[in-house]
Amino acid sequence: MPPDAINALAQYTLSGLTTGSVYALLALGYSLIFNATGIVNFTQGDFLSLGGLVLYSLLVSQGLPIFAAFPATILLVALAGALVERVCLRPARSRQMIILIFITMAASTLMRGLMKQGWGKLPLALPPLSPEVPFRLLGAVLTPQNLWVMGMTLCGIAALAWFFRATVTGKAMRAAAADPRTARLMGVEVERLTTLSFAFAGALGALGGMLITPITSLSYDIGLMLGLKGFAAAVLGGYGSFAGAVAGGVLLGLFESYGAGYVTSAYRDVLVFGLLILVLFVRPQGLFGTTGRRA
Amino acid sequence: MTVPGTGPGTVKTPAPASSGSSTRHPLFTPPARRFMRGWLALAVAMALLPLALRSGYQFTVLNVVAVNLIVVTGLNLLMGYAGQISYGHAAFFGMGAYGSAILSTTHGVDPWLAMGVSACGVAVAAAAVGVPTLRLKGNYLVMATLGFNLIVDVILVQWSDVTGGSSGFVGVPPLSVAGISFDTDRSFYWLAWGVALLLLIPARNLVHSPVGRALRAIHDSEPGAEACGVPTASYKVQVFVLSAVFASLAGSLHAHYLGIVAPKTFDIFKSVEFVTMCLIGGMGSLWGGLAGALLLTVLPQMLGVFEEHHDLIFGAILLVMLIFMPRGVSPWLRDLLKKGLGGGKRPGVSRDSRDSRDRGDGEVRP
Repeated sequence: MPPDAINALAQYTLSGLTTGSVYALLALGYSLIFNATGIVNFTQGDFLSLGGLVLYSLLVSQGLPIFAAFPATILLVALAGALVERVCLRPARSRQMIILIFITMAASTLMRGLMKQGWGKLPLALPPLSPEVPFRLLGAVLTPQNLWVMGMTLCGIAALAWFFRATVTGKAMRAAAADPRTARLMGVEVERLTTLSFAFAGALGALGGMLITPITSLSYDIGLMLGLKGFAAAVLGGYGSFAGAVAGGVLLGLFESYGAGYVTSAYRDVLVFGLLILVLFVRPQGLFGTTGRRA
Repeated sequence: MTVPGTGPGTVKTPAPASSGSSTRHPLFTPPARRFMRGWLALAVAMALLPLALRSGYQFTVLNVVAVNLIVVTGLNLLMGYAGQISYGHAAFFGMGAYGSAILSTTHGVDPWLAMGVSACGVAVAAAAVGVPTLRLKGNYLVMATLGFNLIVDVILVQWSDVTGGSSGFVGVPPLSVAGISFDTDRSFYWLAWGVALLLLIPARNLVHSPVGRALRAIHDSEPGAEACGVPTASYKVQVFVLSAVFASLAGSLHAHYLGIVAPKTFDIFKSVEFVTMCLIGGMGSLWGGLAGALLLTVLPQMLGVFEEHHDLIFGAILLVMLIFMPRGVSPWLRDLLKKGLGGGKRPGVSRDSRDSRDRGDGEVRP
């Protein structure tokens, strides 16, 4: 392989892994809420936008140091996630799936409206987590922010895995996802855990938003397309499976990056969603999904 | 999604074929008198309405309502009756519009023929998409139809040699009959509402045919319907294709009316808007579709005053309606109408049995 080709491959791989990490975070958020409620939550992408915007306010407008602003943003957006569940979904008169999904769509429109009010329509510039000193790795140009995205995503996934394996609340959440009725009989407060799932989804979205918006750009509707790609990643991996969400996110990010680099950048979204639909035709339950009780 | 074993009581068996020869061709059975009365009342109202309208703008809004109504009527057959979700109908709407525009403008085909050819093309495309997609369930079906719409949307923007790219395709000729051209807001009003009203009749006939009952059985329980001998896979694809053709016809009308088509009109948000019209109107009710199309076309126009706060207000209204009126406005309107006409008759006594259907199916935890 000529050195140029290796450079290009390394570059595409790194940028694919970077966006893939964010897709994985979003896909985890979708899966968490699916396991708790069985629905698609279309506000997931807006959690991402909100994360970036809140961090911008705390960091730039309030002048908070990054180590304080970062966790504060996660907490605030987690709160917003819990609010979506408590205010929009809990009081819903219907338990019909399509109605609940549409409630999240309406909530997403409302959130975008609120963010447009609060932060305006113009794109904002969120500073990266550490000074931008590009360096080369295997011929690919890399910024520290790329490493932050991948590193923090790994940390987030590890923390989530620890939570689900080691804590009582995490185990209760898994029990509730497996069988809510039995879990309730065992004294698990399923309703409270549903709210907690939304808070976690908010936190995951916020993490993704704080990491990726310094690279892309920051505006009230940045989460729209990213949210859809995250949804696609969750479906690709097998909806509701955590390993599937991570694998689906990384695969989708890599495929998108290679497709845009080697095939066509104008039709990159056609490639991404085309692949997804093809996978679904062959494996209707996604790559890692099981043909379980619910689809 | 439907849970297997919700109880055999919820499964409606398709009527035996011996219920008369008129039920053999569901699209052309004579509609029942009750529906026909409502239909005629609507037709008379729409024919008299122009006398009360002053500005061309009011006609424009009502024309858009009619075009949306055609899409919603088709979508209602798929969602309200067969219980399948599609977030991709704006793609079929767009394919009809662009098909008509490109054929009639670039290739000089007669607009009516262009409309027909586009509809046939969309039918083939819908069958190709529907066969593999409709095997999917729940979130996978949502994603596949969304993905399809996103793909069509990107192609409409990027294939700019043919489609005109993101700035749109201009110069689409208007439809005309015997020298009368439907090129003004007023003249198009008659065409749009004529087509919208006419298409309600086959839709109603389909709903009240054995096929329609089989579709509702699929909605309630797919394994149950299958066990009763309903060819579920084939029926789902057929109703998907039919609803796509409705969307295509509406798209063609849209293109020939405005003379310009732009990809933004056919993105996933348009699909979501169509589904919202079905939901707000009341799924599984054709009149509800009318209410939904009217409400969600006129409301954003009124909110146009608040351009800056559009998302905020629209999202809030939608949210409140979905939370507190999940069955849409149609059961509520029906009660109101009964109260008005029937002289204090208690509402909800003689409700359609369909109304109770949204219990029990698609039960979501907790």
